[in-house]
Amino acid sequence: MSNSAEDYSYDYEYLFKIVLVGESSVGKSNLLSRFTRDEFNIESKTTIGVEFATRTIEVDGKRIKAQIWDTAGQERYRAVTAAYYRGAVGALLVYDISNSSSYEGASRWLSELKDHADANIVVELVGNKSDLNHLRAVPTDEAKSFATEKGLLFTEASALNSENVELAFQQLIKAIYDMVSKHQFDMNDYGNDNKPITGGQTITLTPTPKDSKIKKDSCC
Amino acid sequence: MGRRKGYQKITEMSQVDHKSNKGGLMQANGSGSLPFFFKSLTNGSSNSVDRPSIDSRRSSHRWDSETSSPKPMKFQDDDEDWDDDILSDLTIKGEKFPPFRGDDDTTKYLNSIVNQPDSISVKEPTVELQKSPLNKSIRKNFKSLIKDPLSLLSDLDLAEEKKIYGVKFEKFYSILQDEQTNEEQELNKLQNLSWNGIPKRLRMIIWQMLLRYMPINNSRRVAQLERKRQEYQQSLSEMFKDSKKDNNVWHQISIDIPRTNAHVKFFSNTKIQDSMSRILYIWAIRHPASGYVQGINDLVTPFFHVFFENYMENDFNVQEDDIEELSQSTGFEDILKAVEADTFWCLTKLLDTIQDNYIHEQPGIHRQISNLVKISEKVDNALTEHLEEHGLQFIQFAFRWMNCLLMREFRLELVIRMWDTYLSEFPQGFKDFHVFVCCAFLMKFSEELKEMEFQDLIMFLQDNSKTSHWNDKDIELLLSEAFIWQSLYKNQLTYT
Repeated sequence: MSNSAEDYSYDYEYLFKIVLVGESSVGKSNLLSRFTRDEFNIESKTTIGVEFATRTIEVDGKRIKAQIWDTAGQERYRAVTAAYYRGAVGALLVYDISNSSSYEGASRWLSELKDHADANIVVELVGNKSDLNHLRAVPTDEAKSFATEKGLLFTEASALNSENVELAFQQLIKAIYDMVSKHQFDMNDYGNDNKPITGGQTITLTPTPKDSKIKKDSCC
Repeated sequence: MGRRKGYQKITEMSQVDHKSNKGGLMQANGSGSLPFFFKSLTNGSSNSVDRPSIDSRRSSHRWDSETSSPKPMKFQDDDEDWDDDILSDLTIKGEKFPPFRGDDDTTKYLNSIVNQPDSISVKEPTVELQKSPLNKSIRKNFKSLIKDPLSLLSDLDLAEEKKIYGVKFEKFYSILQDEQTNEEQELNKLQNLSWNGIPKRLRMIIWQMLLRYMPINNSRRVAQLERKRQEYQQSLSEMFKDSKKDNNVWHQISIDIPRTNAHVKFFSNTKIQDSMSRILYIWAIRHPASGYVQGINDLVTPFFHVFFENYMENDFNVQEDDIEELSQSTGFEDILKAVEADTFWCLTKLLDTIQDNYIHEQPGIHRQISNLVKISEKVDNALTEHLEEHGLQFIQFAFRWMNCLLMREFRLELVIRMWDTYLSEFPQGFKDFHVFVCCAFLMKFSEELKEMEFQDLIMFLQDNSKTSHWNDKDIELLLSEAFIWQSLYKNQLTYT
């Protein structure tokens, strides 16, 4: 669908801000590097604060750029990372299928999102490390019904062997797109004010920290 | 013209700095391509920056003994944070020690401590140990090196060291040999010399002295080291004896240690990892206001590298050579015990100066970042305006610079060289001077950054491959530039 060359293209119609959250060591950074660069690093270091990556994909013939913020999982960084939830239209809540406590932390992360992100944010629960099926500690059905109950999208994926990584991001982006095209809420066209966006529409639910100083034309 | 003028100013400054030899690099560089700060200094006046005269720069020069000699130091046991009561606090709200990859080794190790409280005194080799002979990489006199690190001096190949380091080595050597002058003066001399880098063979000793961990005074050194190491061993055995742990802390450490410099063989060795885990755990438990915070694991590695290297032959490369065989050989355990205890105390000394960086909401880091913004505005207003215009906030890239002391941006060897200078600026090095180093680092890329937009800006700044070609000279230039900014703008820092 898309490749890295496209990432640097400004030719897109929508810009979605997405955050990656979840307990420490569940594989958030590797999911992101697999999706944006098709890379996996077994020796990757802990994420400090936040890291950023982007990729443009096509949904229903529309080019959508996903601007993804990967956050540190450790409790101490919550104050720093929560600032990035604002303005996010989507979140991947990641746990490790071989680590039950990382799954048990999911409801805490949901309430974090509820406290700091917009109420309309689309959340997907992602059970990473599906390659470790022989060490599975979280049954798929259990996670699936939790997701259904909370109104979350759900998939299991493996950043290591790439399984379902595309799917995980694509279905989240698609869901955001569907919601946006249905509601068309709070669409801010920054035009040339916001240099990273030279075309298309930025979808935000509330202003992001970086947007706060930029004049907006309110259109709804 | 403009260039010429800037060059003269720098030369002037270099002369000011000559006393501590910090200007040398800049002079050398000035004749080649013009570093960015020449331009900044030349054009600076148009920015309506209050640029102090050379004289006022001099007065902020920390090497002027009249104005800013380090505070008098005491070398008695002044580790306020180590009180005997703490041991009773250490068996805590824990659950069962969660399984950790190196558990067997940990248990074996801990048993050896519990059964042998005086474990730092070196055992005679037993029959069993003779089966695994001393590895050729371990220095033969490692036992006396453990006991008194300065016994190294009699063992050095002076001609060889002088060939590598020249006069600098002789200066260090003569300070270490000199028994008569007072400690404060000696430390002052060591600080001056260390700013420009420390010879590898002397690095462990000098670092530990600069941190006020190892007494310079001969009469107290051996006893003090032995006592500190025993204190550490005792707390280890107290804390680990009944396998009750603070589960959360231990869990976080045990998932972070395997991904701490995992690409380096040395740091992927199980015994080394277990040792680093113990250091972090005990530090965290003893500092509940911060506890263990990701990034502190990075800070252990320079100490571990440098201290371990002290006991190895010159041809041993800590980062590249295989350590598996070494870790089975005679002497390894003794060395590791000493390195572990020394690292613990030195890490504690370092973190004492930046503990605000790791407590709730990390106010120290926010303060450093706001200082970085302020200094950067002074140094290169066009750049900070550019970043702001594109919606990039300093916290988005500089948070990690502060939290990990730029360790994520440079290879470990370069970090170690940086720490020579930071430690010579101790206790402010890791706190205030670091902000100026971050500023100099940002300015390195000023021209490129000004061409970028939001996404490229953030991707570029968080990508650490931009320094993969850096060497010691680049680091030294960076430090020299930071020194200039510090001389000019130190009074701009806020501390609250």
